[in-house]
Amino acid sequence: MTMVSLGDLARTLLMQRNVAATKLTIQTLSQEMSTGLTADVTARLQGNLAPLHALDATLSRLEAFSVSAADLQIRAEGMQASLARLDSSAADLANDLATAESGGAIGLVGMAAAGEAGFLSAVATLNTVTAGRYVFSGMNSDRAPLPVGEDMLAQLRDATAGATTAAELQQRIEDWFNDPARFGYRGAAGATVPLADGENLVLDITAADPALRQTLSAFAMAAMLKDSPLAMEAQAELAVAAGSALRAAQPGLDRLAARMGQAEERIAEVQGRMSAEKAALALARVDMLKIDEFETATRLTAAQDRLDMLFAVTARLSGLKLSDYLR
Amino acid sequence: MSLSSAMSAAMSGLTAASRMAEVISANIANAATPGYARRETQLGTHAESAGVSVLGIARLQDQALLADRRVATAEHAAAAGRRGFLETAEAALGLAEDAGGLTQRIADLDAAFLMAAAQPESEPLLAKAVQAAADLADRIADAARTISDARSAADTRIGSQIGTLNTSLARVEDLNNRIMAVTAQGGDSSALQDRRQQEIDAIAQILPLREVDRGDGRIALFSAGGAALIDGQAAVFGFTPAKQMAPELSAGAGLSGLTLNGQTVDPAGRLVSGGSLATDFAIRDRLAPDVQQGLDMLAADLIARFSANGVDPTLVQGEAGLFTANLASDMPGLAQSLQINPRLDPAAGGNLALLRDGIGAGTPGPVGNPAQILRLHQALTTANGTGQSAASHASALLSDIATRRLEAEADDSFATARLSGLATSAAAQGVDSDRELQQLLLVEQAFSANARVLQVADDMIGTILGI
Repeated sequence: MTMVSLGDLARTLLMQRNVAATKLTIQTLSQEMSTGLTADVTARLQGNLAPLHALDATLSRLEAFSVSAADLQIRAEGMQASLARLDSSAADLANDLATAESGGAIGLVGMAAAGEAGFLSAVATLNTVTAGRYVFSGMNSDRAPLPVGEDMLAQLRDATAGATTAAELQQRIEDWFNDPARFGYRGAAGATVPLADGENLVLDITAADPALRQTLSAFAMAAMLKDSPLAMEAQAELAVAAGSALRAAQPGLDRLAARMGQAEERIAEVQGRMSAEKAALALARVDMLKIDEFETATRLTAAQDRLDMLFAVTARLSGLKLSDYLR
Repeated sequence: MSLSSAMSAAMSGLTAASRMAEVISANIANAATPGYARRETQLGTHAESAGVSVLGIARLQDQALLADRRVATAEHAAAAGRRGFLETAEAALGLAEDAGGLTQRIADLDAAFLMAAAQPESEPLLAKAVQAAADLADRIADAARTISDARSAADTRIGSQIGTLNTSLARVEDLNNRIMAVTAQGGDSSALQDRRQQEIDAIAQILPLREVDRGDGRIALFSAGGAALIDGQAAVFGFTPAKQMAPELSAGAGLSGLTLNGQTVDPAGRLVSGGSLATDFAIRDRLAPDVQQGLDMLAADLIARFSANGVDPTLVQGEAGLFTANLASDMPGLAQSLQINPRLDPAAGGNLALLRDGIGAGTPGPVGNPAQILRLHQALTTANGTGQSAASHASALLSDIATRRLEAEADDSFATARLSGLATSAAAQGVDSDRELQQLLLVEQAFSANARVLQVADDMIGTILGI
């Protein structure tokens, strides 16, 4: 006789399995709901992780470039400010010196003091430190590009000793600045630094730049007025020559400022581009991994209902025992 | 004497009813016992008298279902083992979204190089770049160690499985003999058969088994691949677990192979295939060494990238670059010993600034010179002899393992579903307490009816005697 029967364990097994599976589903779905991202990235990408890895690599690289760009921005601004300071002090001194012929001996004394102060301040400006770096030293950013102004002046006095005319003095000073051995630039060439993927920025304005040397030599001519051994007339001539040399140096300074300005603009442009790119990539990454919240919420509710139902059925079935009715 | 045969028929009815009650109570008591097959009392008409006789107790076991279930158990154990290993490997290399994952570490090094190149004079950024390189080397070495540990664990598991297998086979042989003896004496061997089935079920996941009934109460066991495990005598497997695991060890060279009754058996071969034993051998001999080799190749690639000609002009050809290892680059286990060049590592007395100046630089160069750091970045990110950048090399390695993990997971869910389906079917044929109670009602009725018959017959005899 074959009887249809169902073993007690069969139902228990089935219930256990269904409850466990439903609980696991709820666990996964609630994790996905709370993060908004898929719980198994590998499965979502079908095992092909290369696109995600490439996105992540680009994002972290953009992050690095942004940090670098912010630093470059500070450096460029510092250099720009120094150049502006040089420019305005050159203009001021040139204006002072223009009155040399009418000022007489007293005027010359004042100009000599202004000239020396101007030179010292110009050297100090080039030796400026921005964010811990000597920005006009090129790659040797750990040391000042030029010796202290006073030392330079002492050397210049030695070099110009014995000159009797303003023209001779000017020539000797210019020669001194054009001779790298005597000029004493302690920096190195400018560095080429990465700005963005495949893009470099050359910050090559150093204290050894011809325009800066020309400016310095013009300041030095004015500084030589102080305690000058020259005759009074020659001193006045020197003052006038220094004034015109300062004016002549200004277009060079302006060109440097323009170059710096271009660099700043490029950095700002790259920064803007990178932040747009970062935002776009972050979006793409989320798109790659995000879940459909509506769908997930629906599935979560369905799973909850299923679990409710399973518990209800379990409770109901466990009461259905023949033994309960046999009295 | 028909009255006394009526009495003996009623007696036989009482005996049968109590025997049935005994079987029913045994069934109910064992409703949740694993390996217990439901018993049924088989009744027949008594040959001489008119009564009922108990022909025997049948142990109801669906052999086909049992065989299917054993195969499914083995398949499930094999798939789960494979999946477990690949999950371990995937986690060791770092999941895709993992912040400390292998590819993320390479991206970190890439970014650290770029930041250091933009501000080469910055000591903290140089330290960060060197730290990023050290973290990358650590991650690879850690992953390689995890894989080696997994291999070692597989070897240990093989050892314990072989132990279980040998003990269980010996017990089955013993039970076989006892069942044969009990059967020969006409006794009930059901309990022994339950024990034997439990014993076989315990090893079914190690090896897929086929059971052949030898007719005399004994069974023979064969592996699905055809190896005789018990046919009269139990077979003995031989295996020696390795004392320690090292990447260069392989089966036959430092690691034990498998023997069956003294004969060498290919553990990857057909004879023992299909269960957790074969999977553990596969992990030890193929899967783990595969991953290990992938890691070794990545480590060799990283070492080669930074020691290649022109990457660091201050180095002599063949000198170690950013990464180094104390093994030759084609040796297994290279990944485990991957580290950064100690000359750069401040913790090992090295000098951070060499990252900027070149590792072999005798005198410090300009502090603002990014050229060397850019060359290192170039070396990391351009395609070299492998045809890939370091990041895509690592990504390919990870994708490969991830794909295989997904496959193993799919296999495993399939095997699990199949096994639980079969387990439910088997359980459905097990004890149904409702049905047993229904039977018990019948038994109760039969008992009281027979008792009544006995009483009436007794009365009748009393009446006759009282005449």
